[in-house]
Amino acid sequence: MLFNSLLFLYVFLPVAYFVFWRLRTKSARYVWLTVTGYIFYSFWNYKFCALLAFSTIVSYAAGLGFLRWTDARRRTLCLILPIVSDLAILAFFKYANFGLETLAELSRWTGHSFQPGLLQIVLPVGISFYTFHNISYVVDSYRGTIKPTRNFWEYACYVSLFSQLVAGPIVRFRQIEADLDRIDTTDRTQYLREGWSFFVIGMIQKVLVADTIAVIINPALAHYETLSTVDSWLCMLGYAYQLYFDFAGYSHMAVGLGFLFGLRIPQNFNSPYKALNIADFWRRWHISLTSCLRDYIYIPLGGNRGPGWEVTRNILITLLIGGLWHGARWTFVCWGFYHGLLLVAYRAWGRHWDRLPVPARRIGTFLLVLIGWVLFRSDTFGMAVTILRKMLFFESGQLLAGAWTLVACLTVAGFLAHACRNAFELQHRWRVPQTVALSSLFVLCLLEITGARPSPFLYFQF
Amino acid sequence: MATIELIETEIPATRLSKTVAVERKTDPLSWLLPRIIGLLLVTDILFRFLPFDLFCFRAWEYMTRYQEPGAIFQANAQFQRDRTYGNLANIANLPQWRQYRPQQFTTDAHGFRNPPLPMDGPVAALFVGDSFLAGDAVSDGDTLTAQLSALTGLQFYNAGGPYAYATTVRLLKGKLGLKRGRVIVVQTQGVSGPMLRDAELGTRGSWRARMFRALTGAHGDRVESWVRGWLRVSPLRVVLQKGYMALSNDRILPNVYADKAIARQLRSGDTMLFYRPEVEACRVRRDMADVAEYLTWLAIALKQEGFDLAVVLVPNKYSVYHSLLADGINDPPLARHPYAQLEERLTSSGLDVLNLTPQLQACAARQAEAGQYLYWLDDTHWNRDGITVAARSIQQAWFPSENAQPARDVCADVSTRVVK
Repeated sequence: MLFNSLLFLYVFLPVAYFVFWRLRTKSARYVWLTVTGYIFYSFWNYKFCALLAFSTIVSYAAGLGFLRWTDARRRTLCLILPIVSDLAILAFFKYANFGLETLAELSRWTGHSFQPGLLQIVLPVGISFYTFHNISYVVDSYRGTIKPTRNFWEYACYVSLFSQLVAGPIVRFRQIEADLDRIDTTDRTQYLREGWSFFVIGMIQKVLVADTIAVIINPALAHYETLSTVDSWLCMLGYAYQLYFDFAGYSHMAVGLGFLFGLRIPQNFNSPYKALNIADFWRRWHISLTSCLRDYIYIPLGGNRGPGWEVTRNILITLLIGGLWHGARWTFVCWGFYHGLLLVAYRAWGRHWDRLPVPARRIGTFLLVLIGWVLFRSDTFGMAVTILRKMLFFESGQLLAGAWTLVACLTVAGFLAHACRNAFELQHRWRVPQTVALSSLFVLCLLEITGARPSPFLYFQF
Repeated sequence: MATIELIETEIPATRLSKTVAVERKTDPLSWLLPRIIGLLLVTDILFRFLPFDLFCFRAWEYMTRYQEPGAIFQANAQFQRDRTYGNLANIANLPQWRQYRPQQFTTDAHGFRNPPLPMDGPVAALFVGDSFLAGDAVSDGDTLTAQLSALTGLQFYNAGGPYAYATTVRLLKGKLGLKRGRVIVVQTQGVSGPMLRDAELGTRGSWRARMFRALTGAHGDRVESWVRGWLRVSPLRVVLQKGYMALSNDRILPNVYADKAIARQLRSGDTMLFYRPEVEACRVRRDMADVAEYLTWLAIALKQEGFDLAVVLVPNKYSVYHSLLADGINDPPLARHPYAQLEERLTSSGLDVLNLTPQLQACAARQAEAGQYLYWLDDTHWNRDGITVAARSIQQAWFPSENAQPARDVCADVSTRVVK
C-alpha cells in the first residue's frame, strides 16, 4: 500500500485515525499502531511480517537484557546478538545474490569457472529501514543514550509505525520516545494543522512534481544509448529533482501522518540543493541516514580523531557503506566512494572552495551532486559512462517525448528546490488563497492518483 | 577539517520539528482536505451507479463487470455500439490505429454469448474456450458458434469465457439439461490459473462466494459477483484514465502505454498491431506440455460426465502474420510452432484435434494481397473472416454430413468489412 493510493486514503487512513483517537489508554494505542503497521506492511507481502516481528522481538529482548544486566559480558552479548541477527537477515535478503554475482565475476576474471546459481530471493520492502531502527535502538540502549522500554507494544509500535516503516525517515527511539510516552494524553487537534499541511505538501511534491518528471524521463533513460546531449542533461536534471521530491515528498507525508497521530517525526531533508559545499549537502540530504552513519559507523571507526589518513579512511568507509546501504549494486558503492572522495577533497581544499562566491559554490555543489546521481541512477557502469559521455561531449538528436513538459517541470522543481523555503521552515498557517491553492493541487493529486497508475516511492527499493 | 566537524557535530537539521502551541481551532486546510478526500470517495461511489455502458468503448468491459456465477458475462444483457475499436489500440493508447466497427453483444440467462434461451433444438456440441470463442470484437451473428450453426443448421452452445472448462461443462450440464454429447475446446494459449484450479472450483467456489452464500443463502454467488463487480470497476477511474491517456500523446507526456503493443507494417502497406507478450512468446520455444496435460485430464474428467472432448487449436495473430510483415526479414526467427507438438501429444492421447494454424496462415497470405485480413488490425482477436475460416474448417472436419454441403476451399469468398 502506498500513501498515494486510494486504498490508503479512502480506507486505511480514516480507519487507523478514527480508531486510534477512540482508544484512550496508552497500551491500546500502542497495540493499534502496531496492528495498523503490520496491516500496512502485509499489503506488500504478508509473509515478511514474521521477519519484522522476529527482528522486533530480538531487539526488544536485548533492551530487556540491558535493563536487567550490568556486567559487561552479558551487555556485550545483548549488543552483538541482535546486531548480528539483523545484519544477517539484511545480508541474506539484500546482498546474497550480489555477493554470488560478484564472486562469479571475479572468478571469471581470474580464469576460474565458479558459476553459483542465484537464489530466488524477494527483497522485503523497507528492510534497510527497520533494520536500522532496531540496530539504533540496541546500540543506543547499550551506550546508555536511551533507557530501553519494558513495554513491548511501545517498542513494537515504534518499529512498525506505518508512516515510517517502509521508507523512513530512520527515526531513533530517543527522537520519538517522549511522544510515545504521552501518547494517551496527546490532544487530537494539537498537530492537526501541521499534519495535513505536511501531508499535502509531500503529496504535491511526490505526485505532481516527482511522478510527472518520472513519466517523462524513465522511458527515455530506458533507451539511454539513443539520448542526445540535451536529452541527457534534461534526464539527469529531471532525475535529480525526481529523487529529491520523491523522497522528500514521502518524508513530508510521513511527518504529516506522524503529526496526525500525535508523533513528531524529525526532518529528513533540509533543502539539500541549496548546499554550499559537499559537506553541507550531507548535512541536508537524508539526514536521518547520515546521522546514523555518523553515530554508528564513522565515530566508532575513530571519527576525525587520529592522523589524516585515518580520517580519510573513516570517511571513505562510511560513505562506501552508505552507498551499499542503498542497494546491492556496484554503481551504488561507486556513488558512495565518489562522495567519500568529494568529502576528502573538501576537507583538504575546502578553504579555497569557500572563497568562491555563494552562487558559484551552490551551482558547483549541485553539479558535483548531479554527476553522482548519474552513478546512482545507472544499473551498470556502462550506462553511467555512456550518459556522462553524452553530457560532456555534444551529440545531436531528437528531443525526447514530452521535453517541453519536462522543461516546465524542471523550472518549477528548480524554483522550489533552490529558491523556496522547505516544509520545515514554513509556519503552516495558511491564508484563504493559499488554502485554496493547496487544496486545488491536492485535488489534482487525487485525480492523478485515480487516473494514472500508482507510482511507488523510489526509496522503497532501498 | 570542516568536513569532519560537520559530520561529527550534532546535525542541526535533525532537530525535531518545532513544537507548536496548542491551537484548538481547526484551520481551514485541515478542515478542507479530509472533506476533499471524502468528496472524491462519494463521487467515485455515485459514478458506480451510473449506466456503465456510458464508459465502455466495447462490449467486453461492459459485459464482464457483473458476472453471472460460473460465467464471465452478465446474464441477459445486451451491448450495442456503432463505433467500437480494438483492444490493442486501446491498451497501447494508439488512437491513430483504431479500426472502428459496429458491435452487438448479447448474452443468455446463464451469462454466455448465445441467443436468448431456450434453444431451438438439441445441442450438437458445447464449445468452451476464451475470448476468441466468446467473440470479443465481433457481433452476435459472427461468433464461431453462430457461423457454425448457420453452416450446419445445428445448435451449438457458446460457453466461451471462463477458463475452468470442466467446471463450466458441469455447470451447464445441469442448466441445459445435457446428458451426454460433445465438448469442443477452442484453445488459444497456455494454461491459466483457473485451469489449474479447475478440479476444485466447481465444488467449493471462491472464499468470497462461500462467505456470501453463508450470509445470503441461495443468492450468495450472485450477490458476491455483484459486490465484486461493483467494487472492482470504478467508472470514475475509467474516465480519469482516459483523460490521462489523452495527455500521454508523446507531446505533452510520453505514451508510456505504447510498449504494450508493437505496430508493424504488412507487405500490403497496412499497419497491424501485435500484443507484445504474444510476439515474445512466439520467439521462445515452448512445448505446451502443461496444456496437453490439462486437456488430457479434462478429456478423462468429461468422459466420466458423458462427454467426448475435441480440441481446436487457434494460433495467435503474430504466428499467422509474421511471414507477411514488410520488414519481417529483420525479425528474430520464430520458435517451432508449439501447436505442432501439442497436436502430436493430444492425438497420441486419443483426442480429436483440429489445428487451424495451416488454414489461417494460408488464408491470411491470400487475403493480405487484397488488403483483407482474418484478424483485426487493432485487436488481438480474429474478425468475422477469421472465424469463417475456422467455422468452415470445423464443419468439414467434424460435421461434414450435416446439411450435406460439399467440402470447399475454406478461404473462398471471405471478405473483410472494415469501417475506417
